[in-house]
Amino acid sequence: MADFRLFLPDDAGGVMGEVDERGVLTFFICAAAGSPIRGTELFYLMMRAFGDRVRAVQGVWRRGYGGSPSVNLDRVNERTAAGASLMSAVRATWTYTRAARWGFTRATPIGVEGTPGSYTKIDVLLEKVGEAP
Amino acid sequence: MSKFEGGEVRVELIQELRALAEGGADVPALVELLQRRLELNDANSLLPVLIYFRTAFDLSLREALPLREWLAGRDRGEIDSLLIPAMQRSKSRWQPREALRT
Repeated sequence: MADFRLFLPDDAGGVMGEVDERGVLTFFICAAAGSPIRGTELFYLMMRAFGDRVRAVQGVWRRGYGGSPSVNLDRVNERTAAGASLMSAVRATWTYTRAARWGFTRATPIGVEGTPGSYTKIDVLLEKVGEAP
Repeated sequence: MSKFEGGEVRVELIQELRALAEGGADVPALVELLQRRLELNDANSLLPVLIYFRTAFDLSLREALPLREWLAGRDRGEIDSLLIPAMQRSKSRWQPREALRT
């Protein structure tokens, strides 16, 4: 297990990441509108800090309670409502596009609830092609 | 500005969270305590709440993450059904113990 935490001053946000014993990274990023460091940069800092420990990235996406936004899940629902496949929609998410730049391009849904356009839960594992955690 | 500045976790607040949970407080009550004590608002609560829950109840980030969506919408029953079982599973690791008798 390994942890990474970085907090920005003035409550502007930060990043928390956790790599488990199988090398699976779970993370949370929060960047306020006026944050001096954007979410993408926070993600890259975390990935650089963990280095080769990360064998896969796990997306844990849930419907926002009471209709609150859920960046990745909302994107999947928007795309699948327009007719895209689940996998194609996953590849359009914030997390997938960032992780893909680090080579994690193979997406495997490991827990899905809901229907196209109204998914409520998606757990997805992003791996490098040819690697298994 | 909140009192979470710098990301330090306060031991007495961890103990207070554990005592409240032990007494049957639900997740929203624990979050409200954190928001009060750390002078947080809904916009800056996410990171501090995740860190305090992970530390107080020995949760993995994966287990604590549903707090992220809940903080915006606040469906009381739903978050309890997701987090309380995880907190119960790790209870032996965070439950206050009786002092050893000598």
